[in-house]
Amino acid sequence: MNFKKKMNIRLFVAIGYLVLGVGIVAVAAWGRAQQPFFSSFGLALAVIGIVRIRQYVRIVKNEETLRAQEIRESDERNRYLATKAKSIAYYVFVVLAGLAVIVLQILGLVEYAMMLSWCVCALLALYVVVYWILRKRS
Amino acid sequence: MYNCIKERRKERGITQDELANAVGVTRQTIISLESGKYNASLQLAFRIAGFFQCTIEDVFIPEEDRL
Repeated sequence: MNFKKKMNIRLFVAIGYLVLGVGIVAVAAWGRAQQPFFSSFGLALAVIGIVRIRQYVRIVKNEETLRAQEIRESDERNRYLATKAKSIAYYVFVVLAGLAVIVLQILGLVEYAMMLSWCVCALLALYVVVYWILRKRS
Repeated sequence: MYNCIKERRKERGITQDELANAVGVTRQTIISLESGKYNASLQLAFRIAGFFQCTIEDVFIPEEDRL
């Protein structure tokens, strides 16, 4: 798929965000979902939609910016850095969460400690599953 | 991995930006390659060698081969 097509699809998705956001705000305003959660969620979604639409239109309108964006997104060093950042973030999170579990246990906050340890276990289990799938595929 | 991208680029009289555009990467990637902070993938190495019309071995030299 060429990059312009990809950007157009993203533009339609952004329009979808805007429409959905406005829809949620409208429903919340008409009193069908009175909780403030819905109006703020809808508003946030609409704002994200507007910001994205502006970005995509600006990029697609100009061939030069389109090419620059394509290079930025496909640049292998950028991808490498993103992957490395994710892996470091994962490692740091697991270590910090592990330490937090010990601290919470010492402080007597057993429920929180249990909840966090379940999160860490789920993350590690997910890692093992994803690693196994990737190993099978390559 | 040692590379002589900077030397070859200067021989041709082109800027990092021009080389980056020609091989489809950002200028930052060319800077990192030239300073040896980043090693190119095989795909990019082929593109760079193709741009300079030479073989990969002419541009990228393993550290052990330099000794």
